[in-house]
Amino acid sequence: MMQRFEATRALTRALDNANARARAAFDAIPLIRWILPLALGVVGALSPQWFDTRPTYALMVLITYLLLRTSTNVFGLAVLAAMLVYLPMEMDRFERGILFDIALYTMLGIGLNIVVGYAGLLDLGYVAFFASGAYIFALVVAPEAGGGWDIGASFWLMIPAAMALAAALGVALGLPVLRLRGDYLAIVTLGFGEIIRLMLNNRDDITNGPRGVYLIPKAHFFDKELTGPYELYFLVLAGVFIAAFAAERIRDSRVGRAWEAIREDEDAASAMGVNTTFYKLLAFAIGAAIGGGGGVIYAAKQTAIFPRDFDLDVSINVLALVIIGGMGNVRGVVLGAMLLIGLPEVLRDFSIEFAFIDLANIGADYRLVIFGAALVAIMVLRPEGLLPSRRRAAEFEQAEMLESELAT
Amino acid sequence: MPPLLSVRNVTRRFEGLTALNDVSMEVEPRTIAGVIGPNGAGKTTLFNVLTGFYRPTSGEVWFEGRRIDRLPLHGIAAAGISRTFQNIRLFANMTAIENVLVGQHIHLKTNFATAIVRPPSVTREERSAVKTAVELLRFAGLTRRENELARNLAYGEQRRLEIARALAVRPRLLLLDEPTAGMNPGEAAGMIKLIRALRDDMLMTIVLIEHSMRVVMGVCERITVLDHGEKISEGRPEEVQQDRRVIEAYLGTGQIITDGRA
Ligand SMILES: Nc1ncnc2c1ncn2[C@@H]1O[C@H](COP(=O)(O)OP(=O)(O)OP(=O)(O)O)[C@@H](O)[C@H]1O
Ligand SMILES: [Mg+2]
Repeated sequence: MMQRFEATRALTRALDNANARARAAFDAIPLIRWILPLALGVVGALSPQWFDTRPTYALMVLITYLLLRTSTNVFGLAVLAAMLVYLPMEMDRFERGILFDIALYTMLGIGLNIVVGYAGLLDLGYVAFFASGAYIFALVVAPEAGGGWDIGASFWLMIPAAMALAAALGVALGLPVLRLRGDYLAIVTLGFGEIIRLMLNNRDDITNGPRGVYLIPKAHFFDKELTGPYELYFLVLAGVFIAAFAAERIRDSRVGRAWEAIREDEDAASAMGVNTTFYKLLAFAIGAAIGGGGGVIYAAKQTAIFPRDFDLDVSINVLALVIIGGMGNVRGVVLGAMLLIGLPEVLRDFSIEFAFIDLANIGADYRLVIFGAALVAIMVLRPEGLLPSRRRAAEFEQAEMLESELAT
Repeated sequence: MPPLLSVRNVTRRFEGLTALNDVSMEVEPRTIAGVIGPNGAGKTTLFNVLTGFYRPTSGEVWFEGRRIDRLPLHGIAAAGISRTFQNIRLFANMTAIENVLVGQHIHLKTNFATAIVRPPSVTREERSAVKTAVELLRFAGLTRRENELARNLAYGEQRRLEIARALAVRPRLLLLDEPTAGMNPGEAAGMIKLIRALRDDMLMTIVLIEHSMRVVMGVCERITVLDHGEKISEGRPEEVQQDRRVIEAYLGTGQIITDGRA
């Protein structure tokens, strides 16, 4: 008994050491961080089919990574924007679909990051808000569901309306779970997500049950019909930028500091006059609103939604991409979504054909194994995520400046 | 002058254990009051009752003519009381200046909407908040440590940062739970200087809990002695020092009360 325990401990220690060494090596050669994406980019550039899914994807990851790593100035943002607009023009329908998913999950990640990364509330039921946004929209506009309001004007009104309702749902979830911390909160929110899905499934009188809501009318942008993933990709891209902008600004404000204080020490935060109840509910509400907005766009793109679109996987994926990318940081979320949502798709046509080695189907057959291994590797090398949040540069500079002012 | 703080017959029980038993005390404005007593006497429990962490089982707490023992936890700061903790409770992964900025929370107005839009008023508010924070850190002797993470500060610096953070609330009553605990004599002397400056320069009213007799006798104008949850003595330092009950209470603990070294 004791011996086994010892053996386990020794193993753990050995693993810890190996882990520490690997990380030290990783950090000691800063170029690794550049060589890796650069290599990917070169492979992409030399590829005969330039706009093949895989090289394009590699290129995108590379450019995004480099832009996000270095501080974002106007130039960086312009390059990023140009890339995000240009690349999908060259893509086929399937690739555009992936791009849409990446952007959508980025938006969801930004929302969940407010709850988990900023306020420190572990929420495993985030899909509930995504689902409610989608269903609120679908039920109101789909004629089959007895809604069938005129979509022409209502789509743009439905987005804020669905966001507001999702936010209300966020508060409704928040109220009973406010006193729970850590694991307990995770379990209850997980249950909440499942309850919403089961309700969508079982209340056929309202939701049409497992048959789903279909024939959701197309949205219009002025006279243009927003038909497929391509047009809606730009919509969700706008959503990502707005959400990212809002999230970063809130984080760098009194509100963001209050969240961080709650995450660090809830009682001490209260003693400083922070109304912890209010700020936790606020985090739930803002996170839920962003999720709800994503849901509307999703429903508009799918034109048919089903309860099974909103199972636990969505919550887990969004949480995983937040963690992989680097908790508490919008940039990390972008990268996390690219890897977590993009990688399994592009791995489909990954193959190794070299001399007598012929593994043409390795990607198609083993993509999830490769994907899983990649995630494990990332978490071993970078437990804090790929782009963990940086200390606040603005406050830093401001303080330095004032300090020298006072000194004179 | 009416008392700033008045504790009226406060009792606090924890399942069978009476941590505070019918304790009353008053604190006059602009004084430094001390609360002393052996380990487990109920000193920290008293602070927790004053700051809303515990509700009194019976009795009342009044501050500036207002009953405060039913206020929500976050309402205490708004009422004008702030505190430090015996086992330092800083926001460890935030910088020194961010800790102090959180302390200013109730005096700032930015909400999530104005944070997003960021009109000039928000920029101005933030700028002046940072300025105040830098000044407070200076006052607490933490010049040039603004951007250090709280957990990377030396122990004595952390205690000072807790005080700077508490001051940011702009309290009219400051509660310090063992501010010199764990400090070497040099650090402790600096802390005593800081506490005196708080009263003399910032016109603060202070209640402090101390184990170190030298600190208590040196800075406090009035002292309340607790033992097993009861108030056993009260008065000026010289009076308390002579009190037979106090000497008895401390005898059992091996602490020597008169030689100036705890
Ligand atoms: N939340 C609680 N639940 C149960 N018992 C408690 C609680 N808080 C304090 N006590 C008990 O109340 C008594 C007084 O504790 P308190 O912390 O107030 O003592 P103290 O005078 O601050 O001691 P020290 O000098 O060691 O800090 C102790 O016996 C303690 O165990
Ligand atoms: Mg104590």
